[in-house]
Amino acid sequence: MNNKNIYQTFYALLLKDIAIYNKRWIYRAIDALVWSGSSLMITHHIMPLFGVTDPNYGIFILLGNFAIWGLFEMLTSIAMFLGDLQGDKSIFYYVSLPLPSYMIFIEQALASAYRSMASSLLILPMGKLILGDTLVLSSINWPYFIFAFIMINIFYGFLTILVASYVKNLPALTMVRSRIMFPLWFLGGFQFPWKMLYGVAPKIALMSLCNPIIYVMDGIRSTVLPTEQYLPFWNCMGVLIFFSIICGYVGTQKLKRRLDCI
Amino acid sequence: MFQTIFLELNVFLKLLKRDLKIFSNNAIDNYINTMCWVLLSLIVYQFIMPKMGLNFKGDFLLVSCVISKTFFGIMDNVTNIVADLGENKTISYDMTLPISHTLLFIKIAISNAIYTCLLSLLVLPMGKLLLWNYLHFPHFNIIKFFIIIFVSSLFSGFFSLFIISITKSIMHIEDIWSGIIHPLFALGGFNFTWKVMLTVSPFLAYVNLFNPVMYMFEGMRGATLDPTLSLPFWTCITMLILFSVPMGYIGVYLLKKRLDAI
Repeated sequence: MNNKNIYQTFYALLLKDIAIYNKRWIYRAIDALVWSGSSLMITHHIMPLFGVTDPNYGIFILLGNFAIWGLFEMLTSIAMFLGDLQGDKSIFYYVSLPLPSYMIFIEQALASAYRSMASSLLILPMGKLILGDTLVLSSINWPYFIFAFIMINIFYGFLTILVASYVKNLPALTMVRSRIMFPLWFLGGFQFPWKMLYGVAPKIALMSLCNPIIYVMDGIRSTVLPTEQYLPFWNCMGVLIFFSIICGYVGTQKLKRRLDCI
Repeated sequence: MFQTIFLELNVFLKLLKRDLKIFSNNAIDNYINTMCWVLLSLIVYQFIMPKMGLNFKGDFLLVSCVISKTFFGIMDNVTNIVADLGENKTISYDMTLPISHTLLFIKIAISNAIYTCLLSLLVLPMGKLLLWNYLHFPHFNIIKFFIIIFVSSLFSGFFSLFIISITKSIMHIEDIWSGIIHPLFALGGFNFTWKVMLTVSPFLAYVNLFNPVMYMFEGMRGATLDPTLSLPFWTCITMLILFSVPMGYIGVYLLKKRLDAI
């Protein structure tokens, strides 16, 4: 196959998925705002009455919301994928295109990454509105922050491929939520930094290093909050790249087998 | 006339029995999903969050987990029913049975209520077994506990009817999670009481009086923890019953319209 044709087809597919999502973008962005806003208001205004004294706790949770949204968006992407498999089966048309089948799945991963990036974009401005002067925008290391944002969502894209390859049908999404998403989220340092977990329960902390969400959380937070409280930024990014490759490889292989691709 | 009523009741009970059979077939999976939620929440809030300064612990969170399950539990069946409405439409068969369509939809609500009630009933014992010495309930009132679970489940059942009726397709299920379920849950007081909210923001606290999930949490705390922490127990029960009526009415009305029911 001509390389130029391959890249053109790949690019056209990606643009198509982006255009389809853009029509729904506003609804998902509102969902993200409602979810993130309600949890941030509670954290910022009510949790101090329960003993949380850290003045940065609001920022801590805002960044957590910002970074975790992609995990929720992953479910939407999986639902779209499975909905297509059970319904129109348009994926079979895509695998017939002049494109290696693995590239179809990479395209799906990147489209999923775009969906989670686009829908979470407004969370930060909304956080600024709620937190006010507590969040100083100039204290953000923007190049690192943007890099982490892109890398995290690319990771979610490949995680989507991996999880989708294992989920049988749409009703099984409940299982994904309870047994995959929730444990990753709750033990992934959404509410606490890894170093604090290490201080409380070293064994659990060491085991949780196998949880990629730890790197998502510590990676993004270290670009805004004092770096000494978090795992080193480049370590987090390196591990996320590693996890993305693993998820992408295993997910692609499984999907190829599932869809009888060559 | 009585013959028709008996016939309808007979079909109603048979359909309920069928749903319970399906529940029992998937019971192990459902309880494992519930365990994931309870175990992880307890570990995080009992052992890790106090290091962040939070001064409430596992007992407070465990009773919130009971209500979480009562509320979130409905989403399993909502997902299945919405998927069915979009694809197989097995409900069309149920609609040909000698049972009024209103009663058929009420059956869905009752069935979801029983499902979520059976799931949430075990949360407290499971949590207590897991962290025996850490959890203390000196104010526990078993009668009130059963009453609040029963009434909360009933509300959740009728609420599920409303959610099914407004969810266009399985692709929109994530919008429901992020746009409706999570905000109601987060603002409802998973990790704070209404009285605390009143001290922080009286306006928000009064607005929150329109949030039925808040009465579920408050009622459960009234039955299991120090009653002075929460709103009066019987007020919560009354409000939940009052909220169930419009939810059921709107749900039945919209579903009838959607399915061209008589």
